[in-house]
Amino acid sequence: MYEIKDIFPLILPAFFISLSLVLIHVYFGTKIFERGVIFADIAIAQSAFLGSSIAFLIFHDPSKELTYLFGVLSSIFFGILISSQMEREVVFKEGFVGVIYALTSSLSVIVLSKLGRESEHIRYMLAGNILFVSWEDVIRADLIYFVIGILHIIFKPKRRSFVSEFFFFSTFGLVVSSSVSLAGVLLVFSYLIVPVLTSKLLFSSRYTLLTSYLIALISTLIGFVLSVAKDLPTSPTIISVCILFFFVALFIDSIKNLKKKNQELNS
Amino acid sequence: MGKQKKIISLAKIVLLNQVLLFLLSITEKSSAEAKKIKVVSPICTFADIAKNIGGDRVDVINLSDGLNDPHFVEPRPSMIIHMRNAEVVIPIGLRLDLWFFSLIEKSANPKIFEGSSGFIRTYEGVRILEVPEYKFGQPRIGDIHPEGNPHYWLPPDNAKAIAMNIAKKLSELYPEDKEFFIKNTEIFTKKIDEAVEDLKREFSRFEGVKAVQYHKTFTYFADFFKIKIVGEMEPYPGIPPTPSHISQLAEKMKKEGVELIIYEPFRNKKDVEKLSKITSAIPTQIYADCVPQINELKDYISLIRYNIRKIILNIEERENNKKEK
Repeated sequence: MYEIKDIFPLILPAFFISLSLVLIHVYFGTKIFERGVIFADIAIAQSAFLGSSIAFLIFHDPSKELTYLFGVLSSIFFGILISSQMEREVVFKEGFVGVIYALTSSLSVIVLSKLGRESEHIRYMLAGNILFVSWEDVIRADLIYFVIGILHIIFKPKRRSFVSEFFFFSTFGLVVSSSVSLAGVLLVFSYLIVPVLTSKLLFSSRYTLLTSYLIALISTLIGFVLSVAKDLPTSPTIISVCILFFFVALFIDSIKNLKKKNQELNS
Repeated sequence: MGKQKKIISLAKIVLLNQVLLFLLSITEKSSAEAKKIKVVSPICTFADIAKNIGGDRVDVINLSDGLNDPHFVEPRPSMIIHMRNAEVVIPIGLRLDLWFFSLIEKSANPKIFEGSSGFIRTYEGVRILEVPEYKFGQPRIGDIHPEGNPHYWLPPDNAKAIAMNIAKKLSELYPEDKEFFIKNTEIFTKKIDEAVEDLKREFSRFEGVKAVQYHKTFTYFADFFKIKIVGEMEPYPGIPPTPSHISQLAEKMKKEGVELIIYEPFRNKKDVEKLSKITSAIPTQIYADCVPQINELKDYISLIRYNIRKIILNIEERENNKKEK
């Protein structure tokens, strides 16, 4: 149907952006995991979406930058709200994050319905597709990720406080609103969660970050090759490969547990 | 020994000859294929029209069909390659197929950029319905679609206009085949006219029938065949039905005696069935685009024939049900 070498230069930006996405999101994923609020990422992504759709409500035809700004402001706002509850017990935290997700989702639907125009168009503008990423997008996103990465290296809080949580969730909001507009909610969510979960199943927590990176990179590579070779939609293919690894890990882990139980019974 | 050598060298020559002939046949074949004009269309209907106009001079690819929502097509790597190699594109426009425009941009193929020679303004000469009017100083809330309803390709007169636009563009790009394209357009137009005459005759008894549609997909189609659209299940295009909207709509449907709810295969069937239960209007699944792999929907003319006959069938069924009661 087509030659791999023809397609390669066209999807190179998509490949590069997914590497950048892996670098920043897997890092944030491990931190989110530590906080025990897995769904914070999708709640933050949804609040970015809400903010951007509010930009459409106010300005009718806002520029890309204005849409992004509103997304960031909204995600920071909800980020603060989430971070204010971080001292509570895990069940409450997860519940609270769920409430924020439901709230931002339904508010988005209300805002979209109040726009009084075809929401397909706006939805399309707000949720990107990795195949359409340009070099310009790659550079802009990498700049944001780089600065935030550096900030996280400089400010390493010893103890979690409201300030450190505020810093964490606002930078997280910045990253997520940018990446969702490039690659869509699903890929971003998967990069945040799936590699970390897989790594937790197989490796000691000392190596979580490193092994999560490896898992994410390998899935991305395989996903890309499969997508090109079999002509499949790119993001869903990467996500499926990523989750396939997760299930393999789950299988291995279950067998391990079974063996352990057997040994205990025998002894 | 000498004889053997001679035979071997003769065999070599024969073999070489065969190889050369084979290579030649390949290049000949590929050059014949290369001569075909590569056309890429977002939907099956435009592709079918282009095939009718371009005949064996074109190689047309459609990226979506009637089984899928043309608003949301998941892009695949091969689509970018098709765009890369395209000489002509036939976009829907009016902000419906944004994914198609993203693909054009991504292809980095200047031949098909908007305003370039290979870009067809498909809806030129088509009367676009529901274009919102802006009055200075009034709030802009309430406009349905900034450029009007983009589902313009179903009614036959618009399909003919689209065919003309395609023929014009192809003739401009390949003037040596202009007569061929014009002749094909005439043949295609005649084919449509004949089919429509039959359909109109079959449908004449049902003209003025009232229907509700899920999305504003069939507004133009209904306008042409004199089906009265009373409302949409979506409160706004792209916004899923809300309870209050549905209950208001149901009231209106009962008052006006709406007989049909028309919707495409990818819409939420449960919503349709619920509304049908309250109002006794018949759920009627029809198509907004042809589907090459389904014989009765394989091209544009089959598509409108299918839609009209399905509607007739469902109205008759409703009439029979009433009689039985």
